[in-house]
Parts: sequence; structure tokens; C-alpha cells
Amino acid sequence: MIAKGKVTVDLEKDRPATLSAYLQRNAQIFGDMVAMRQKDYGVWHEYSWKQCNEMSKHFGLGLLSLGLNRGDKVCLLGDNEVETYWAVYGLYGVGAVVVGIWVDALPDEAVYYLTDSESRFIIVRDQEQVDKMLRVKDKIPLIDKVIWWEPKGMAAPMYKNNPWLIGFNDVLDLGIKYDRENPGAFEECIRQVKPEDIANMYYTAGTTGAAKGVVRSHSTQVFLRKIIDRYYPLVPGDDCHTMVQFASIGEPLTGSTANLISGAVLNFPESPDTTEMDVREIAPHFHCLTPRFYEEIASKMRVRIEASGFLKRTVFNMMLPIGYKIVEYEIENKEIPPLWKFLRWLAWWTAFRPNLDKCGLLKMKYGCNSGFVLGAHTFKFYRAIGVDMREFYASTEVPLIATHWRGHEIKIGSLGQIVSDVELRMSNEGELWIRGPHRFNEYYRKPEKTAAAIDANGWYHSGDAGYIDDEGYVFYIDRVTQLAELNNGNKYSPQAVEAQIRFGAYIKDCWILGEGREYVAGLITIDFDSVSKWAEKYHVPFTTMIDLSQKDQVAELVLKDIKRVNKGLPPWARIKKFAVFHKEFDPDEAELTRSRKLRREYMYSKYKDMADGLYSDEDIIQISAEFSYADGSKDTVTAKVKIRTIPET
Amino acid sequence: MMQPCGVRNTGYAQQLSIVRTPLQWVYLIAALILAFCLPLFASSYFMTFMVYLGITIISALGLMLLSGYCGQFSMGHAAFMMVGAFTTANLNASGINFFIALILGGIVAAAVGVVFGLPSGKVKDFYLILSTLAAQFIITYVIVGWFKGDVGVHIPAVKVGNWTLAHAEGYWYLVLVVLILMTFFAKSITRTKVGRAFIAVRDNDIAAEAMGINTYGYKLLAFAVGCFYAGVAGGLWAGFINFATVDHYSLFDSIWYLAIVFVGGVGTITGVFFGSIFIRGLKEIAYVVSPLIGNLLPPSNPFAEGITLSLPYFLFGIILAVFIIFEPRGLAHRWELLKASGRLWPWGYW
Amino acid sequence: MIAVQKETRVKVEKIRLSFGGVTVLIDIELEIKDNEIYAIIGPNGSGKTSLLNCISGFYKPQQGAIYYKGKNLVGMRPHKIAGLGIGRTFQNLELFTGLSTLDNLRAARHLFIKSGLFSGALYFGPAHHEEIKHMRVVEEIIDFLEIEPIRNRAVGDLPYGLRKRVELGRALALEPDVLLVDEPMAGMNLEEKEDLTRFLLDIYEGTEFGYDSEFLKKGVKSIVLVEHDMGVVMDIAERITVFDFGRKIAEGTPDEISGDVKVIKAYLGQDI
Repeated sequence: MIAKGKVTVDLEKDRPATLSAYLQRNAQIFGDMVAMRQKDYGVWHEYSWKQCNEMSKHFGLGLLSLGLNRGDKVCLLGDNEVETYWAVYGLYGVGAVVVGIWVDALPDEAVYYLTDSESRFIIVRDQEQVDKMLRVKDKIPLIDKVIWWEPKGMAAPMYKNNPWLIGFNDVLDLGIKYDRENPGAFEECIRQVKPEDIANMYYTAGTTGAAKGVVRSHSTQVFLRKIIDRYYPLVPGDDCHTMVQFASIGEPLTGSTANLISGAVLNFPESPDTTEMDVREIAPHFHCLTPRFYEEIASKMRVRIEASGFLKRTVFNMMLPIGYKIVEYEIENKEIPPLWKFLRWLAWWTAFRPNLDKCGLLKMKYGCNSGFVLGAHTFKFYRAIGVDMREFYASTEVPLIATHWRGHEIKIGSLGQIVSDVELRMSNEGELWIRGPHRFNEYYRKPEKTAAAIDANGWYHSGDAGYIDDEGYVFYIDRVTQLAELNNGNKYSPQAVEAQIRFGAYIKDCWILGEGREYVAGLITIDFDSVSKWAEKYHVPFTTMIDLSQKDQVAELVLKDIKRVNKGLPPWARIKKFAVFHKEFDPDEAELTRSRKLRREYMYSKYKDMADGLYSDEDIIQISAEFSYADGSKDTVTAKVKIRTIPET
Repeated sequence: MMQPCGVRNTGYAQQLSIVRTPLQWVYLIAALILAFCLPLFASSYFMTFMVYLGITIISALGLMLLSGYCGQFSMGHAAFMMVGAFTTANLNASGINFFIALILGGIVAAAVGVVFGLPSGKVKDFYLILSTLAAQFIITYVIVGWFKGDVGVHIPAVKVGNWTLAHAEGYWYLVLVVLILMTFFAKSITRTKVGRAFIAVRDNDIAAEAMGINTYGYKLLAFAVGCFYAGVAGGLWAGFINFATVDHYSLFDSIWYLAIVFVGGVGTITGVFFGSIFIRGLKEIAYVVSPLIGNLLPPSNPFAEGITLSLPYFLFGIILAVFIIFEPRGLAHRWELLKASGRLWPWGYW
Repeated sequence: MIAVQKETRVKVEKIRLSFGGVTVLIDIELEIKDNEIYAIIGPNGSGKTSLLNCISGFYKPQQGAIYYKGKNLVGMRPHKIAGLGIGRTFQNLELFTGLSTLDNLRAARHLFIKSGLFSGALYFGPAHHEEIKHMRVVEEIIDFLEIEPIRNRAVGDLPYGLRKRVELGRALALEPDVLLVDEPMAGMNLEEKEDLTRFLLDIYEGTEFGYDSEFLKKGVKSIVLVEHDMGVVMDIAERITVFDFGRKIAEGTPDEISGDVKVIKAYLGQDI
């Protein structure tokens, strides 16, 4: 019997200090309310807090009877289902550490995680994962048992008769027996778990050397929830959809802490193929996704609306500008006049609400974007159609640094303002340093790396370059290692700026210069097709690409995009001079790699005159370049490229 | 069927239910209240129309089950209504309570239906239609010859307790109650094993046999059920006009009923309602309009008199042809498309 | 190892089938035993599908008998034979194209639903309970065949490979003791063939746990496979029969058949 009640939780008052204690608290105060839902065999199966507590208890005790000790690490490798969370909560309860591994990890990667974390057990989902483990069994001698929970295919004798493998239900049976013989054991274990005990370990991607295990204790996880709760409060009964695996820091942001501490309900779809349909039935209240997902959903919306009949399309396209106008009011922090309030209401009921209903985003209180900065266009689109979209700055080491505090206080391009309890400062090199109670503890068994990352005063050196403007908004530039340096020591990110400029509809490519110079300059190449069409439309006569590129009107077009990008850059990193190049960058000329990455050294040497010219007082630079035809014959091209200075605003 | 965002089924009962969300319940209850309150504000003429409509729907439900769901096309449906009418009348005349006579009329009609459905074991489609066509004529002949069909049988006014249902307003409640019950039974049948067996027999009788469905048995069952509905409808009609006569159950009426099934949408219960309202409404309009058109022409014009008589049939033929060409799946399908399009708003597809 | 004598499920005795002047099956005799996958191969037109049609009751042989569970199937109506426990898939996929996957499978549960016309008409009560119970069984089949994403889509809209799986599900829903599978690999690419073969083996072996339904756990212990794809046949069949022009020309294990001169001449030719 699942009770449908409304219980309010005062997060300040009923505040245990460890995740395991929260499980107990919830079983008491929420009791028969729904904790988790799993879609199986076409219908949603609901599990109450009491039931989940029982499952977790028996799983934890079962592992104890298999020889697990407090502080042991247990790896988790599988898609999220109810069993995942029962296992995790059981592990929290007996004081073990949960180490998540990505589902698509190769066997050797898995071996690294298992051995580096010194895990004693591993929990996998199904036959495929079990096979993966069996293949590398001799490389992981520390692993006592492999626990699986999806029974399909596991009836074969090779699995049944293998003592290394044990099924989830068998572990539960062991736990039930242990509970009978030692009543109150689980509660005692929970009492013994201290806030400084480690709860989870997350492996960060190893771009420099091997992956590092980020250690987080119960207290850091609990603090994490407390901080998130200020900006994204959830009430008991709110629905979450957690596809994020325990290998990612995204999981405690959206899953286990929301469930344990805020009482939100976790919902699990039936299978990866039915996820879209199931998410619509779940109607989650909170989503934290990456830009790729948001862009996919946005384009799905647009495509389907475009494909609809005249009436539907027209209504939506009429309402969309109303949404954008409201967004403008929000950005400028102005009061919305009554007429627009009415129009917003109209647009919501005729167009935006049914649209969100189709995607399953109808009940979403807040949409968070994490990972990379979401393109301004997409960000505005979501806010226009009624989604409270916010930027989110977090890393595995410090899982919430800045975010948009309130839905309507948005600065496009920024990551929001620093959250409470977090201190953020910029180092002399432009690196962002962060300090906060939810900062990670250490890198597992890597004291030198830990010392390099966390300094004596507790500041975490993030490796990110960014800046904070006077209103406290945080802007992200690039990874520190990717930065280039002007001659006055200021850092800037060529790739980030180039990427931003490339968004422009008329711009094909861009080369940002500035290394060792006084200011940043840019060399832009235009997209001949779109610019020529524009020129035809606006009656700008031209002959060749060279001719077109040097037109002043074309330079004005390009200047618009440069100004757009400059607005989001710190003052020293703004582009001061630019030129529209007379030709496109060509991989055949060795200017780009085959994957279209700029070959900067070569470009500097080939176009030294151009580069120097951008830092001189000249207005026009004559370029002579030799280029080869496809058949090997060579020719020389001369062009006069105009240098343009961007007026100070 | 697409439910609003956030509607979840936690059990199969919910998944199978027809009325799923509170809003859908509101629609249903509002419709029922409207139906029961109709006599309070509608004219007598309108109520008479509604009584005929209700009886038509009951009969058409039967034909939908037989022809729409089971695929056994019957061109003798009106004749089975006749059987019901005469049985009810004769039994009532010999003293049996009207309601019991009504049910017995349905049962006798069902039995006669099974007899004429026997060829369905050997013949299909076109040939089966001929056999049911034979039913139309044979039954008429038998009733005229042995049951005073040409003269007619009188039925006294129907009484429920002390209340005499003499006028359309009163009789409407009887028809409404029977209609609600029969619709519920029909919809339930289509949702369960028997209904699925009917559809299986219609769509692919090889597969049906391979699934263990006794196709011949179910064809006969379909005749029984369909003709039961026809018999009850016939009895109700006789009770309303207080007379059972062969005039109202001609071949053309059989064809009207087939048209209802076809225009409404083969294989749907909502199609019965759409089709009946459409065809009955069309008839009414035609009967009202044709004299007017006839009067427009000068009396000497040879078409003038003919138009009044033949316009309904002319319109009927054109409508049927239009539906065959443009919407062979009937009004119910159009309605489903409209509903789906509305549910998908503002998307074009999912 | 002691060879266990396997029980005979279906015994085909001297079947002779003709249509007009054409004799399609001549003196066919074979036995389908318990606990085996039994394959029938042969060139097109050799009478394989006709034999399946005789066993499942769609054709009536002029001579001969087919014994199953002590009864002679010759002359019985197909639905009665299905009721006795012989399930069948069709090469041309006999599905209800207008209905969804779910409805197709629910229709196949016909024999197991007890409520008839009257309890059906009343719906609430025994009919409702049975609908729920059998919905669960059908959902387990859907889970077993991994066709959850298409459960509500009309079968007519599905790609060929998925329709084949629904066909298999339809036959499975009958809880058959003997399953006749007619050319399941026709029109499949390599990946689809592997998938379908795995499902056939899963159906044969059963899953032992994970489902409530007994028949999914136990598995279908006699499968008759009519197939052209030699790779699949050699892989999974325990015994093979070879037909040619309506006669049985060879029978044995895959090794015996691949070495049999008659068979090679008639059929396998240069394929091996």
C-alpha cells in the first residue's frame, strides 16, 4: 500500500549527518510513501521507503556476511535500476565506499578502476557485464565476489556453478539470515558511520596521466545537497529521472542525494529504447543534462513543429516571439508590463505548455545545463518556451561552484553567480580557485596529485581559466593549459574565442592571434555561399572571393559577430583588430589538419606579414602567397587585405 | 493512445481502462446528464427523432459486432429486427410482460440469425451477403404468411409500474437505459476474448485457427449476438409505435444499416454512434429538404414529383460513394485522426 | 554415457498428400521426439511446408496418420490441433496487421481465457481479472523477446525483422509443447539471423528464473525447424531430415547429413 501524503521536511531541523542515517530517517517519517518507481512489464512498480529500507538493509547485511568490512570499496557497474540504489544505500549503511564505473568501460579500464580503488566486491547488472569480469578475472585478485541482479541468461550452468558469482536475491537471502541472527545490526552500523567516512569515489577522466579517484565523504555529499537545495529546492514526492551513472558526479546532483535528503522519487525507465516514452510518463521535476541533450531535444521540437499542419505551426511561430520578448525583460531585470504578462499566459496555454507536454518537460521546475556552456541561442530558446533553464558550473572535485540563483536573473554566456558557502577567487594566472565544504577530500592513493590540487589553505586549483565580473557573475574561458598569453601576462583562450566566432552564420573560420603581443587580433574567413547570397540580396556588387572579402559592408557583417563575442570576454581578451582574409583556410595547403584544426605554427610562418600587419599601424597589407592546384601546378596570388580596428565601446 | 504528460499506469487495470483521467470522467458524466435531461427542454418532434436514433444505434451495435468486428457482412439485418418485433408483439399479446417479451424477442432473433449464418462456414464475403439477402426475403415471407405480417400486430402501451410510456419523452428513458446497457455490453465484448476472436476471424482466419480460435463457432456466435441486438431493437420499435408490421423492416432498411456501419467506421463502437447520427440526420434533412426542392420546380416538370420521393436515396448514394473514395475507414477514423492531431498539438508527429 | 531413449511426441505415418494430379508428399514417415530441435531441409517445392500444414491441420492428407498425444490429427480442425499444444509460425507471417503487438499477443492467449460471452459482456468480475492476468503473461513474452519499444505500434508498420519476432511471440503465447517454425531466417541479414537464432535457443532452453510464467521457464522442448540456411541448421539442429520431391531421402545427425551422397547430390551441391 503506497500512501499518498504530503510530508514537509525541514532540512535544517531533521538533519542527520550521514547519507546512511537519512535512509533510516526516511523510512520513519515517509514510511509508506513512494521512494522509487521502476517500469517493468509495461507498468510502473512502486516501492515505498519502508520497502527500500528493507532491501538495502538485507543487501548491506548480506555483504557483511560475505566478508565486507567497514571502509571497504565496492565497485558498481551497470545501468540505473532499483537494485542499483538498494545496493548503494545498503553499502552506505554498512559504511562501505561506492565506486562507480562507466557501463561502456573496456575490460582493461575496468581492471584499472578495480585495482586502483582496491575494491573487494563488484556489483554488475547483467550477463554481459559478468562476462566482462570473467574475462579479466586473473587481473583482479582482490575481488571476492561478483554480484549480478538481472537474471536473464544467468541460469546457464557456467554461471550457476561458479562460486565467484552470486545473484542479488541470494545476497538478500544471506542478509535476511544475518538480520535474524543479529537483530539491530544494520542500525548499529548506521550509527557507527561518521560524517568524515568516505561515501563515494569518482574517477575523473585522465587527460594527464591515469584517471584519479576523487574521494568524497558523507559530509561533503550532504553539504552538496544543502547547497543545491538553496537554488533548486525539491519537495518530497517530486519526481527525478536518473540516468546518470554512479561513475559521474552528476549522480549525487540529481539522484541519490535528492532521494535521500529531499525525499524526491527516483524513476527508472523500462529499457534504453523506451526511455523517451517513459520520461514522458515520469514528467520529472528536475533535470541536469549536458548541452548535447538539450540541443537534441530542442531540434526535435523544432523539426516536429515544422512538420505539423498550417494551424499548429502558425500558432507556435506567433507565440515564440512573445517568449523571446519576456526573456529580454528578464535579462534586463525589468518589470514585465501587464500586457506582456497576459500574452505570456496566452502563449503558455496555446503553444508552450502542449509543446513541453510532448517532450515530458512539463513539470520541470528547473533545467540545469552542465558540462559546457550552452549556446546562447539554445539557452534563450528554452527560456522563451517556458523552461527555467539555468547554467551550472561544477566539477567532480567541487560539484557546485556557480549557478544562476533565480530563474529570472540570467546573464547569457555566464555560468551564474557563486553559490553560498563557496569561495571563489582568481589566481594571478587567471585560474579559478575554489573553497567550500563540499569540496572533495583527496585523490585516492595519490598524495602528490592531491597536494598539487589542494593547497595549504584549502583552495582547490581547478585548472579552469575564468573571471568574475563586478556583479559576481562567473565566466568560463578555457582550461588553463590551453591558454595563450599576451605580452603583459594576461591569458586568453584562442580556441574558445574561435569557437564562439564560428557560430556566426556568415563566418567560416577564424584564427585568433595574440601570443606575445599587446592585444588579441583575429583573422576571419567568410563563408562564400552565404555571404554571396547576402550580397545579392543587399545589392553589393562583387567579382571574386578576394573582392567580396574586402568589401566594407562584409566587414560590417563580420564586425557584428565579433562584437557579440567580445561582449562575453574579459576586457584584456577582447579582439581589437581584425581582417577578413581573402581566402579560406585550406587543409590542402597544410593550413588546417585533416580534422580541420588550425596549424598555428605553420600559419604564423606562412602569413607572417599578415600577422605582423595586424599589430602595425598599417591599414592594408599586401599578401603574396603561392598555392598549388590539384594537378600540382603552382601559382601566386596577390591580395590586398584591409586591416580594421574595432572601435572602443 | 497518448495520455497527457505524467500519467502513469501502476497496474494493468489502469492500462486497460477506457476512462483514464479525471477530465475524461467529467466528459462522460456530463454527456450522461445531458442525455437524461434532454426531454426537459427538447420538443416532442426532437424527442421522437431521438427515440428512433436510439433504437437505430442499438440495432447498429449488433450489426457492427457481426459485420464490423467479425467481418460477416449481413444484408438481412432489418429482417432480424422484424423477427424481434413480431415475437415481442405476439408474446405480449398473449399476456407476457413486455420486458420479458422483449428479451425473448431478442433470443428468437438470435436463433434465427444463427440459422441463416450457417453458410458462413463454407462461404465468405460476397456469397455470404447473398445468403443473408435470402434471409431478408424468406423471413418477410414467413412472417407475412404465418404471423399476420401484412396486417400487423398491435401492442398496448408499455407500462413501467404505474407509469405509461406512451409519448416519446417517456419512452426515451426506456430506450436510453437499454442503449446504455447494450453499449456497455458491446464495448465489453470487444475488449475481451470474444471480441478479439471476432477481430481475428475478420482479419486473418488462418492465423485465428492457428491460435486455437474456432472460426466457424465464432462466426455463428457473431450472428447470434448481432441478431440479438437487432431483435431487441425491433421489439423496442414495435413498443414505441404500438404496432409490429413488415413495412419498417424492408431490404432498404437493411442497406441503411450496412451504410451506418460502413460510414461510421468498421470495427469501432464510436463508429456506430457517428454513423447512426449521420445517416439518421441525413434522412431527416433529406425528407425536409426534398419537398422544398421539388416545389422549386414548376409542376409540369417531370422531375418535380420524383424529386420529393427519390432525393433521400439520391443523396444516400452520393454520400456512400464519397465515403468509399475518400474515407473508407469511416467517420470514427476521421475522429481518431482529429483527436490524435489535437493530442499531438503543436507537434506534427511524435 | 548412456543414451537416454527419448519419448516420441509426434509420429507421422505414411502421409500421402495430393492436390489434383500433383502429389506433394509421398509416404512420409518420421518421428519428432522430446528434447530436440529437429530440422527439415530440402529444395524449394519438396514438400516441407506442406508437411507442416498437414501436422497443424490446414491440409488434409489423403492417406496416412499423424499421432500426437494418442490422437490422430488427420481430419481435425486446425484450432483443435492448436488447442492440443502444437504451435506454428508461418513463413509469410500470419499476423493481424491492423492490431498492435500487444493485441496480437493477447489474441493468441485465446485458449487460456475461460470467460466467454456473458462474463465478457459484464466485464467487471472474472473477465477483468483474466484480462489482467493474461496481460502480465503477454508482457513477460514481450520482455523475453525484447520488443518493449514496439508494444503499442500496429504490426503492419513494423520492419520485417521485428514482425518475425512478434510472430514468434504469437506462437509462444500458445504455450505449445511442440513448436513448428517455418523458414524463420528468410529475408534476414546476418545480425538479424543471429538474434533470431538466439531467441529460438532461448525458447528451447527456457530461462529458469526471472519470469512467473512456467512455459517461459521450462522452454518448448520440441522444435521442428524448416529452414534453408545451412549454417543455422547445422548449428542448432540435433537431427535433420532431408526432403526431395515430396519424399524423405535422408535422416540423421548434422555430420551424417553433410556427408550423405544422396543429400549432396539433391540439395547441398557446392554450398558445403
